Amino acid sequence: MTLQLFLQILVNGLMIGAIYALVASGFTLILGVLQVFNFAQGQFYMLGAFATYAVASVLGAPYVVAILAALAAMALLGILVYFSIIKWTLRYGFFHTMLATVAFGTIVGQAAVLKFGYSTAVVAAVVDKTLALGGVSLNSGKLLVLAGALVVMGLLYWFMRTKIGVAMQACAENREVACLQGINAGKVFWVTMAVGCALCGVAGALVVPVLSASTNMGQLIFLKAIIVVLVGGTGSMAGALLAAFLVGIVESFAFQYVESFAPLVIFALVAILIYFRPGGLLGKPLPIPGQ
Amino acid sequence: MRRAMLFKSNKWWLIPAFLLAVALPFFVGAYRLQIFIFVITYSLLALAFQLTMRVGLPRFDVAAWWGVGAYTSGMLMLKANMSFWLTLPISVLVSVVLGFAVFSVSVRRGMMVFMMFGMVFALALQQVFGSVKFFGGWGGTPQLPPVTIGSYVLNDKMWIYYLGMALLIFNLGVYQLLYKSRIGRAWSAIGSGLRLASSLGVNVVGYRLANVLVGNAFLALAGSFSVVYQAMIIPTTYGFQQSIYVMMYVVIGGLGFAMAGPIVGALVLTLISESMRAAQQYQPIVTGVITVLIIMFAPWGLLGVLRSRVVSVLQRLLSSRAALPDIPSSLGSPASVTAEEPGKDA
Amino acid sequence: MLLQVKDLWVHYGRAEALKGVSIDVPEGSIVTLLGANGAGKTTTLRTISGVKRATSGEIWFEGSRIDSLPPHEIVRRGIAQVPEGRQLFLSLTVKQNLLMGAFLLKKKSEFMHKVEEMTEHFPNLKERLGNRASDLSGGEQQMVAVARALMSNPRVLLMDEPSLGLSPIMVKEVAEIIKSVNSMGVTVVLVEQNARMALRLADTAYVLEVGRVVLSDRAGALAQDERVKAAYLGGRC
Repeated sequence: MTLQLFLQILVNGLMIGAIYALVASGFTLILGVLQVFNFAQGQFYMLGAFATYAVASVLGAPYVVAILAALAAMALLGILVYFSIIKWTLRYGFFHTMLATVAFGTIVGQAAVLKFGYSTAVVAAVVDKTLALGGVSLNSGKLLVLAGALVVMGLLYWFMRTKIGVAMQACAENREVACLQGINAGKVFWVTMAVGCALCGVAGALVVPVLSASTNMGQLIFLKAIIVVLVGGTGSMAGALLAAFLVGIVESFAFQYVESFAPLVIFALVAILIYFRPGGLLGKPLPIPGQ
Repeated sequence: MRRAMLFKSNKWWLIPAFLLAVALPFFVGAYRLQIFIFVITYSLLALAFQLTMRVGLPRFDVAAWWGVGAYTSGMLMLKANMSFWLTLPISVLVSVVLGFAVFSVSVRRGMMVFMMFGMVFALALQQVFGSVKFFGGWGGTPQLPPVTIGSYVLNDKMWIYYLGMALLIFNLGVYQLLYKSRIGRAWSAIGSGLRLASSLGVNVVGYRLANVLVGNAFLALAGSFSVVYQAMIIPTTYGFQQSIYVMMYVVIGGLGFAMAGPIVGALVLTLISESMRAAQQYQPIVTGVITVLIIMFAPWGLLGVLRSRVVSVLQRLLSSRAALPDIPSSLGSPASVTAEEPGKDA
Repeated sequence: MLLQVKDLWVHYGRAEALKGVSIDVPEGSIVTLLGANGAGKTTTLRTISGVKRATSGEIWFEGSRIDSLPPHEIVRRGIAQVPEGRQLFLSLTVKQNLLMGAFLLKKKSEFMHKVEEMTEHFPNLKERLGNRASDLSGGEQQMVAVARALMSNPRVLLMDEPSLGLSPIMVKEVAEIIKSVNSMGVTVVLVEQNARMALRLADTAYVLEVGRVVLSDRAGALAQDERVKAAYLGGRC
């Protein structure tokens, strides 16, 4: 393998890893704090991509504006979903909330198919040049996605250290004791939904100039997020971030060599990890109901 | 067992239901009958889902194991010229052995890992069915040979329907026996609380694995059955979306009803989606909306609504507290739903 | 009466946890609830804090009824709880734990001021602020738990088994902490297994048995009561 090919695959892996990281961390956040297994997580990613397409390509606004619009729209939609569906099903327990998100995801997915069909929507690439680095040329669009994702992760890191972010961690660790501190669990819940869904929206917005938007991208990325969470350990944010890059890179290389059997390689990776590291890459996961 | 007693005391409706099911082919045409064959298949899947829910494990790989059954039977018939009936035990065996290999570790890691690992497995398996030349690729297998009984070719919808009914009744019978047995009591104990069950000395991992593998066996049977009425096997039939529908059947029917819930759910949803044939593209939306509404306003399903109606009428008649169906508390017990009502007399 | 519990009934599912418990907590006092495991002491505290809902009965605080308020509103009114077994947020630092206790304080300056106050009160915590709560010893964790509860400037502090799992020396220290908290003007409701320590500290005491108050008196009088001696004081310490 040439250095050129190696680096190209690596960059590709890092880019999709970064996207997985955003979606999976949003998913883990909601799972950890609300204890809701959000099946619709991928659909927020898909909607984020289409929102970006609508704002950037149809309305013709600058790409950065489109990203912010996708972020805000998905955060709002997340809040809406919380207040209209999740809030009313939380008291019935884990299974019911999960199924509510399944149903919501189905509705959104089919609505998107009705609106956009099975075709793909493309946003013009932001940067089209290839970056030459010491004789190796790399796709700068992909590097830009990676950079954007890293900025979002930095923002997330900062956010998790603000008062409300710490309260989210406290709620994830022990909801009752968090309530005893005067933390308004309902408020923490809708903020978590907003953040978790906005992360997906941003991921969709970042990826759309490189990979283009399609209506089935949501379910695909959801399954990838599941893999990432399994590898990283349920409920662990840091584990999810690390696992996302690992899965992204492994997948990228696997695709190069075994093509359509890449899912099998990933399956083997997950199986081995489950066997040897029950708590995920970084050890102990957070408590989740119904273990 | 409270559930078993309820089942017994309400047994009267089984007789008209059974007669109706037997008489059905004489009232509806071949096309309509095919829909009811689908209902039977989906009921079989939903029953297996409900089985693992009993030990607190939701599974999203139902359709994948269904596919294992279908592909095993189909491939053996195609490549080895085997009789359909001979493939049945083999497909059960394949499903159970493969299930053991896949789940013997993940079932130890708790509900979350079990569920997610199942999804990943289903994804990988579908990829195998779709990509490996041997299985015929994404377009499906070649035309399957017909299923025969002796020299009679089983292609009459009526007889396929009766075969399905027999399979369904066989399933229900085995489930009933299992639920009433010592194993079933252990499963219920696990479903109503892991800590309690393991403190009572129940081998949680062992019983859960047994439960999942029993489910696998039945799913493989249902898969083999699907070979009977299909000309070919297409991998996307056995995809993730089908597993999601199975989950919806169970909840719409009623989570607390081990037997009737899955059947009623499969019947209602299949009939709804069939009645929307003209507007097929809106069908998932309608299904989704119905599911959301059921979860929000009737969390224990259609039968739960029916039961509480019957119970409230009975209560008024007898002015006593009738027993509600017991639902594994790991799913959020119905007691917690009504926990705020006064119950000093209880 | 600062805090008043009137004829409280609480159920877990169909099981009765409290069957008509009434408790009066005068301002500035230390009130202790004694009883065996499962007598309903923790349930009483959880119901006062609002994390468990009563089936019937009333809870009054400063002249208004609080039994239907959400937990965070009850903390805002001035009732904080130190939960059983301390239950710090182990993945967070000590300072972040205190920040959670001060969740209802709006200004950062207020929070910093409170942290300073707490480190004066519990000098050991000063160099521990940046540590993860999981790195602390049991005694230190108890201090953080008390400090965390005090961050919201409560009028009443509900303490659930503060001496649980601590060494005898630490138990003495906890007793000192309770006294000093009380001397700051905070009313304390103390749930304890260690009846000897609780009766020494408290002004009034209630004895609970399977969800009912079976005895209540001044703590000094109860310490002399033969039944209490036999059931709760025998052989201890």
